[in-house]
Amino acid sequence: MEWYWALALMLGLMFGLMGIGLPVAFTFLGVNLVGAWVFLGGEAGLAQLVRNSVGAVTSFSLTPIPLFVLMGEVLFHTGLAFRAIEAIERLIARLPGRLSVVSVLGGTTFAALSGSTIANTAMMGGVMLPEMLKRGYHPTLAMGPIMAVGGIAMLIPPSALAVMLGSLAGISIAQLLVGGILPGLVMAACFLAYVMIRCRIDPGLAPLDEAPRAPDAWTRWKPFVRDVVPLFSIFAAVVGSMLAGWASPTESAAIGALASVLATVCYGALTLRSLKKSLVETARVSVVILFVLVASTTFAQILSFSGATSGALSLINALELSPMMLVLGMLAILLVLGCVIDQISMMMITLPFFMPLANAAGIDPVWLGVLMLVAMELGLLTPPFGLLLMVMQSVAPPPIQLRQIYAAAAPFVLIEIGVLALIVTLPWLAVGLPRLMQ
Amino acid sequence: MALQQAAIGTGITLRSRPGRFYHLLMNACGTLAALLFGGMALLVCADVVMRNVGLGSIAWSVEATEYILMVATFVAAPWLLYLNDHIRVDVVLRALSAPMQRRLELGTDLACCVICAVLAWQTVAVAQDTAAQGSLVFKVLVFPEWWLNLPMVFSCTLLAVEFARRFINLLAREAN
Amino acid sequence: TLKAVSAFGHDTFFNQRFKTFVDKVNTEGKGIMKIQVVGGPEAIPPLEVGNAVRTGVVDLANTTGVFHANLVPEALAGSFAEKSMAELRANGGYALLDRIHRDKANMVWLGRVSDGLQYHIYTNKKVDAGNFSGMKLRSVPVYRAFFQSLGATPLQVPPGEVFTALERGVVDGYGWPSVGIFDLGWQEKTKYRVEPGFYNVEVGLYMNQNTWKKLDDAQRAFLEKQIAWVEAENVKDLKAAEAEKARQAGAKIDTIAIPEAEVRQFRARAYDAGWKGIEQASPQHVAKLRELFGNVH
Ligand code: NA
Ligand code: NA
Repeated sequence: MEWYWALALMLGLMFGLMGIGLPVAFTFLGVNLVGAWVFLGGEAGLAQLVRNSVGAVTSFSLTPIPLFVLMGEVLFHTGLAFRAIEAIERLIARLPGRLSVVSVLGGTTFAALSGSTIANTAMMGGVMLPEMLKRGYHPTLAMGPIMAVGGIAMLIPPSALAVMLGSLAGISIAQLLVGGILPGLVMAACFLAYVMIRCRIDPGLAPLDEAPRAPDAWTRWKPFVRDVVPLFSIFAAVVGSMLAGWASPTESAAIGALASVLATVCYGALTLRSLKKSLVETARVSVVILFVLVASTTFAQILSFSGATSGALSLINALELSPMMLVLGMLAILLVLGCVIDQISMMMITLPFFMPLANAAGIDPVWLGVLMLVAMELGLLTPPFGLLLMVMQSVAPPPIQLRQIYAAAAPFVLIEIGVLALIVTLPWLAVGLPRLMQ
Repeated sequence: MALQQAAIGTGITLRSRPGRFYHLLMNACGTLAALLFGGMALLVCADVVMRNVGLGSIAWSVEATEYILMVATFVAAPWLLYLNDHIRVDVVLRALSAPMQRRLELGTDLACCVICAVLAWQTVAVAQDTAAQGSLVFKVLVFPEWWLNLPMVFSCTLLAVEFARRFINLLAREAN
Repeated sequence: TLKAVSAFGHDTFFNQRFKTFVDKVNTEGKGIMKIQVVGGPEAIPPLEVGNAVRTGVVDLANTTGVFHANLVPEALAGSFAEKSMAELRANGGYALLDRIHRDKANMVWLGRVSDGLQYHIYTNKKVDAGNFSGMKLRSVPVYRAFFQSLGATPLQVPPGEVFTALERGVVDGYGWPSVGIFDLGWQEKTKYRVEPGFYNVEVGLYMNQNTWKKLDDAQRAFLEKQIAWVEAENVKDLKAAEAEKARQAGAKIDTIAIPEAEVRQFRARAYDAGWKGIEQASPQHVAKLRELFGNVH
C-alpha cells in the first residue's frame, strides 16, 4: 500500500470514529485494531498490538504524570489552593476584569506548583468559573484565561511533558525545564494585558465588583505572605532536589508530591479524607491521560510501521529547507497535529524525524524544545481534540456549550501563536536562562 | 460520594445484589489505582532518601514503579468509563436531534464493546501464547511474562461488559 | 520482499552496518530478494523486536539478544562471547545458539554485525585502583549483576536523563559500549574511562524461521554470501573502537587502568555474573555454551 493510502486509512478512520463520539482512547484502540490487522499482518499483528499496548505505559519516564497531578490535587482538596487564590485576590482591587486577572495570576502560580495542565485547569475552573459566571462575566473572559493559563503549567517547571520531551528527544531535561520559565512568564503577561485591554474597551464583558479595598498594605499582603509564599518551597523541593543531585528529574516529581503533602500537614490542613480524595482524583485525572497514551503510543507505532509517517515527512525532507524554514515547517506540522492528537503522541510521531533534521541543520536543541513545547501547548486549546477544552467542558455548568468553549479559547490561541513567533525571532527568550545556568 | 452520584447517572440499581456488587467492584478498581499511585510516590521517595543517606538503593524500585503505572492504568480504565470520564469529541453529537443522538450513542456503545471484546480475546490469546512460550521477564524481578497481560485482560473484559451494560440500558430506555 | 526493522535509531552507530547490508542486498539481489526496512524503534519498540520476528510481523531484524533475552535467555551468550564469530562458526557455538533460537523462539540467527566492541565503565570521579564500592553507576540489565558484584550501586536511569544525572551527581558513572557516547553528548560530563572493558557488544541479524524455510536454495545461498560479507566487515569494529578512544582522549576523557594484578579478578567477576544470570533463567545449555563461547578464567 502506498504511504498516502495508509495515511488516509488511519487518519480517516480516526476522524470518523472520533467524530461520531467514540471516546478518544477507544477511537485509537479501534483504529489500532484495523491498522494492526492490515499493516502488521492479521492475527499476529493483533497480538503485537496487545504487547505494544502493555509496553506503552510500562515506562518509568511516565511516572511524573500522576505525581505532578498529585501535587496539584493535594493543594486543591485540602483547601490550600483556595486560600492561596483568595490571598492573590486580596492584592488586586478595582482592576478591569479583576477575576480574570486573578485567574491568570493564580494559574501562573500553580503552574509552578503542579506539572499537569489538566489538574491546573480543572482546579482553576472549579474555583473561579462559577464565581465569574455568577457575577455576569462574559464566557470568553471567564473560561478563556483559565484554559490558557492551564497550558502554562507545561512550560514552567515542574512539567511532566517537558520531562518527557527531554527524554525522548535527548535534550538536557534540566535545561529544557529552565528554558520554559521565561516564555511561560511572557505568555502570562500577554494574557493579562489582553484581559485588561478587552475589559477596558468593553466594560460590559466583566462587571466591576465592589471588592472592599483593605485599609493598609499589611492587611492586604499578610494573607499572601502566609498562604502563598511558603508554597514556593514545594517548587524549591522539585527544582532543588534535581539541581542538588539528590534526585533524577523523574524522581524529583515524587519529592514534589511528598513536599506538597508535608506542606498541607504544616498548615494543619491535611485530613485522611482529603488525602483519600486527592489520591482518588489523581487516579481519575492521570489514568485518563495514561489510558489515552496506551492507545495513542501504539497508534503512532502502527502509523510508522505502515510507512505513512516517513512518507509524509520525506516530502518535507525533499524540499531542502533552510534551518529557519525547517523550524517553521516543524512548528506548522505540530500545530496541525495538535488539532487531532495529544502531546505525547505528537512527540512520538515527530521526534524521530525532527531531531535528526535539527541536528543536521545545527538548530539549538533547547530552543527547538521550548518552541515545540509552546506549539504543543497550543494543541491543548485547538479543536476538535484539545485536552483543556475537554477539561473545561467537564467542569463548566450545563448551559455552557462546547461552541462557547471553543470561542473562549480562540483569542488565547492567537496570543500563543504570537508568543511562539516572538520566541522564533528572539531565541534568547528560551535559551538565555539555561545558558546563564551553565 | 462521587461514585454514588455517578451510579445514579449510570442507571445502576444499588438495591439489587448484582448491581451492588458491580458498583463495589468499580469502586474497588478506583481505590486500588489511587493506593497504587500513593504507594508509588512513597516508593520513589524512599529510594531517593536511602540512596542519599548512603543506605544503598532499592534495586527493584524502578521496575516496580513501571508495573504500578501499568497496573493502575488498566485497572482504573473501566472505573473511569463507569464515571463517564473518558474524554470524547461530541461536536457532531450535540448538533443532532435527541433521538438521533440516542441512536448514535447506541452505535458507539456497541462499537466500543466490540473493540474491547476483541482486545480482551487477543490479550487472552497472547497470555496463553506467552505462557506456552515460557518467556520470563529477565530483570531484577524475575517472573513469567504472561503475568504482565493479566491487567489488560481484566481491563478489556470489564470495559466490554460496561459498554454492553450501557448499550442494554439505553436500549431498554428506548423501548419504554 | 523481506520486511525488516531495526532496534536501533536510524543514525546510530549500531544501525550503520545494517544499512550498508540492506543497500548491498538490494543492489546485488535484483530479482532474487529485496529488503524493505519499515522502521526503527518508533515502529516496533526495541524490547518487542524479538517477538515481532518470532510471530512473523517482520521477516528480518537488526537487533541484539539482550532485547529478546525474555524469549531466549541464552541469547546473552553472544554478549559474553570471548571468541570471534569466525571461531564460533568453526567450533559449533554459532550452530548451537542458532538452534536454541529456532527451537525456543522460531528465529534464525543469521549472523553478527558487531563483534569485538566492549563495554566500559565511564565515570566522572577518579576510581581508586578499581575500587567501585559505594559508586552509583547507571546500568542496564545485561551488566547490572556485574556492577553489583563490584560493590557499586546500580541505578536505572532512562538514556535521556543520564546527562542530567551525571551533571548533578545522581550517578557517578555509567556502563556503555566503547563507541557512541558522542552521539548522546555524554562526553561533556565524563572524565574517565576504565580499562579494560568487558563483554562483547552483540548486534545481529535475526530472521523469522518460517520466512527462512520459504526461501529457495538460490535465495539462501545469496543471503549466506551477503552475511559472510557483512561479518567480514566486523574487523572494522576494532579500528572504530581505537578511533573512538582517541577521540575520547581528545575530549579530555582520561583512562583509568585497573592494576594488572586485579584485571583477572575484574574480568572473572564480569563473566561469572553474566553467565550466572543465564543459568538462573535457563540452566539447560549454559555449560556447553560457556565452553564454546568463553575462555577459561
Ligand atoms: Na508546571
Ligand atoms: Na488540539
